[in-house]
Amino acid sequence: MSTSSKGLAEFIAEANEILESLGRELLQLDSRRGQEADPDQINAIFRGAHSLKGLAGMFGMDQIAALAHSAEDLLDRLRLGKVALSDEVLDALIESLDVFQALLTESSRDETIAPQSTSRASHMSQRLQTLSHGGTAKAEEDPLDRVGLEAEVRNVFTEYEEHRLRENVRKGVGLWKVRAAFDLSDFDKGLAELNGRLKKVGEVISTLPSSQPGDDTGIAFDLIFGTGQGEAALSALLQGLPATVSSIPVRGSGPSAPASAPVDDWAPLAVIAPPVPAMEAKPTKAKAPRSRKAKAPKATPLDFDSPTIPPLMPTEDPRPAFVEVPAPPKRSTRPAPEPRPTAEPPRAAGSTPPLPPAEPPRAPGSIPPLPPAEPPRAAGSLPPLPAVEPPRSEPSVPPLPPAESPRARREAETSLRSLTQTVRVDIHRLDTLMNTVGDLLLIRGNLARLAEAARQGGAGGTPSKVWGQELHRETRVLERKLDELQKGLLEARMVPLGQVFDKLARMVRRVAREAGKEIDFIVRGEEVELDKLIVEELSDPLMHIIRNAIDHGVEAPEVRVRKGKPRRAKLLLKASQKGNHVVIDVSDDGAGIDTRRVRAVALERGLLTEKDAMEREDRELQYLIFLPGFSTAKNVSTLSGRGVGLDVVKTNIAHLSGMIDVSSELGKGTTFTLTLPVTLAIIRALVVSVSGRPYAVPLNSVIEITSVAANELRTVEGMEVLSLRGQTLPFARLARVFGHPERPLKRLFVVVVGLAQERLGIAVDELLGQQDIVVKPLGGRLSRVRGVSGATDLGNRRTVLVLDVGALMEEIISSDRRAEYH
Amino acid sequence: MPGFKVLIVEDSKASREFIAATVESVPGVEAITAFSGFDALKLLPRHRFDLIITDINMPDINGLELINFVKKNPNYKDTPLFVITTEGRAQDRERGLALGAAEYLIKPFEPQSLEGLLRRYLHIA
Repeated sequence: MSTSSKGLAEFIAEANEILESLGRELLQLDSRRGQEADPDQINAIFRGAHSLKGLAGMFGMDQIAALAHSAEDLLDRLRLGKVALSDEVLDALIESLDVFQALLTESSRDETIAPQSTSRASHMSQRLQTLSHGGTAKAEEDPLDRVGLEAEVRNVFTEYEEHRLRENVRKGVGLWKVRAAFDLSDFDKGLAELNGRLKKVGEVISTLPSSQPGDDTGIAFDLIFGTGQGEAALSALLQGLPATVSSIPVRGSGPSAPASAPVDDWAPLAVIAPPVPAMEAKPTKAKAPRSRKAKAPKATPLDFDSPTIPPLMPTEDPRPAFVEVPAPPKRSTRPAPEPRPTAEPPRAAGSTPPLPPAEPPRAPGSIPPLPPAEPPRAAGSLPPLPAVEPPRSEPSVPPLPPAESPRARREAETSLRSLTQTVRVDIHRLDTLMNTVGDLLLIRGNLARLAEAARQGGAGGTPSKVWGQELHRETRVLERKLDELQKGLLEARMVPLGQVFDKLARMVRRVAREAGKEIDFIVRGEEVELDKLIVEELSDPLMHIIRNAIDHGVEAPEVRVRKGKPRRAKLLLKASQKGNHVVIDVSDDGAGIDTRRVRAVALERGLLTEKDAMEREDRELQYLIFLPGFSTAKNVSTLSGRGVGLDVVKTNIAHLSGMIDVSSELGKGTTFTLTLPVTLAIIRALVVSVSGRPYAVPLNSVIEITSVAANELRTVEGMEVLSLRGQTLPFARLARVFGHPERPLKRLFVVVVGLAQERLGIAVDELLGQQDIVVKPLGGRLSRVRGVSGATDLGNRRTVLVLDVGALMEEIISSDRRAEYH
Repeated sequence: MPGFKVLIVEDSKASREFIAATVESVPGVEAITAFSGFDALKLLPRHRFDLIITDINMPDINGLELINFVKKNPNYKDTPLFVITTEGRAQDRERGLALGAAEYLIKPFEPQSLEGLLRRYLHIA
């Protein structure tokens, strides 16, 4: 079967969506281990695996299809009650998702599936198969034979529906046929209403469009319904609906359930918010609605004319009550078109593959010489650039710590990055964009008219004043509309962080289990939105930090108990928006960073001198964990705090114009704080120049602009500092940073930049103005230039380098902290 | 050339588009798609379909129920109906065919075989 790249993208997108919702559902099941599982939920998960199998098969992804087949098989037996939902089964299912993800990643890169993935997939497949056949099938008389249903009706049941019917008979509830007729135009709404009412008191087993010939305007349905309610109660329930009820006879005997069946055991589980592929797992909460709606439910069983006295049923319904959304239910969380990757707004600032190769700045002469950082600032104190490739060139990941457990599964955990280049956009956002474009077209018309007027009337003279005013007005409207358009497009690129958080939750569960830790993972702020690009780039650093927290931050349960802490550790992932930035905290209540160990390791590795080490305060020492070379496999086991590959995390965050900070208290826990801009795509920048060379400073990090006389600068410990309203700021001359000749100026313009709590004054020669810029990443060797995040074109064919404020601050402030000990 | 209309009922978007593309590769055939059984019930009276293709496992009504509906309704009962599904379950297959499905294809299917079947049932040379 040919798979065009468009088809492949469709496949990846849909498969991903299925995996995402499977992950959510399974985690939900997992969080309720030991309780009776909601049949709806199991069925939804089954359907997910089933869809995945079909999808993969269609697109020739045989390995995925085969694995999905095994998973589907197991789930099928699970939903048909042939296999019990044991921890083993749940574990295998959850772990299979990672295998799927790996296979999908490889397929999406158009790679042939690596042999180890193949063997991993076949192992997983085997495991699932073993589990499906380990169950004990109970051989008993088929309760279905006792149901007085016409063969005609029974013949359209799928096996699952038969199973539900059987379960209902087994529970001894009454079976009913509810016939309802609706107008064809809105039968789905009518049915949804009907289903809604029915599901409060029982289970809708099947919905059959009636074969009765109707005209073209109406349609009737037969709902096969199981409930403990009596006929009178049912009729009351359906009051006002075009529905009639008739009883389906069930021949007696069978395990007649006690009338006071433990209703509460059956309260079905709440259901996950976003619908699962093709299955509306409606929260058929038995308890609350029942007591609200059907009056005195427990008093009714006796008015019932069925031979057995019914216990209340888990209200359950294999069909959706949800049909109003004019999109396949799978996509209903965001019923929006998916822009093709090509239609996406230009990507910017360092990252994903499809980027146009960064245009190198035109004239090589205009590139600032690569700075071996300036002498006084002790180049040696800060190892120049980590030898790690920055993330933009490699779609995979910062190297994980050389896995201490050489388990294949662990190594195969590559990236949580999603595989799609698509963004789902709320249709309303697109509508707004459409409107703006409509307005722009109007303005174009007006401008054309003005141009024509000028051409005709302006034969010899200057344009009239009225004309000028009109042009001015149009220009203003144009500006405003373009702003709107830009804002709208940026919004369209935003995705909720929840997309990444869900995947992280799965990882936490697995990693904790592997590491023998008990952890409550708490997530806050899933709804906070960030540019799709940032969210993608963020997933790996977050994964890294969280892994570290679990592996090295959180103590083993026994240790915790011994220390008087709760056995289960808390791991909090919290996002919140602060102006143009999003702050993400990862906090644990683990052991904290042992600064004595940090000091020792830093000394051992020559990252610190004895003298320096003594003078540092704890907080300063904590920052050392971000240094390249600080972490190695060796100290993973010896250092009780953290420090695994955090330099890579830091580099990745810096590439997103973000900052990372850590605060930790020994014995109490550690918090990593990431501060990131909301969007990268188009930024407003302040254009400055030094030695005649322009640079752009992202405006979102500019706090203020001031000027100081050169003699107001002071020197502290060999570093220039600036006093601003009584505060002392670290100070850097941009000319020196990039090795340009300095102009002897009496007064210096100082751009004060800040990220999070840190401030830095940057001296420049001239301020050239503000401009919106699209940052393009620098390619090749230039991508390693510290302090520069990319280049942009100012529209006058001049290439301008964009300052990476985060990196610059780190470089200057941290080398400041480090002072000189050489 | 007479235009033929084929209804495709399939809840997976990628599958739906794949089937639609295959169907439309036969000259003179137009694919109209429904994303659910309910959607199909609404579309049925609005067009005169020359052929129907349905999935079995769908969120609202299952494919068997749809076949039953189509085959019992005098307006549609003569319309040939194919099932294309992942479901390999023998029971469902038997039931589908017993209810009046003309062909029962299992995904993944070869586009050529669907094309051939379409030509045969629509009498396109």
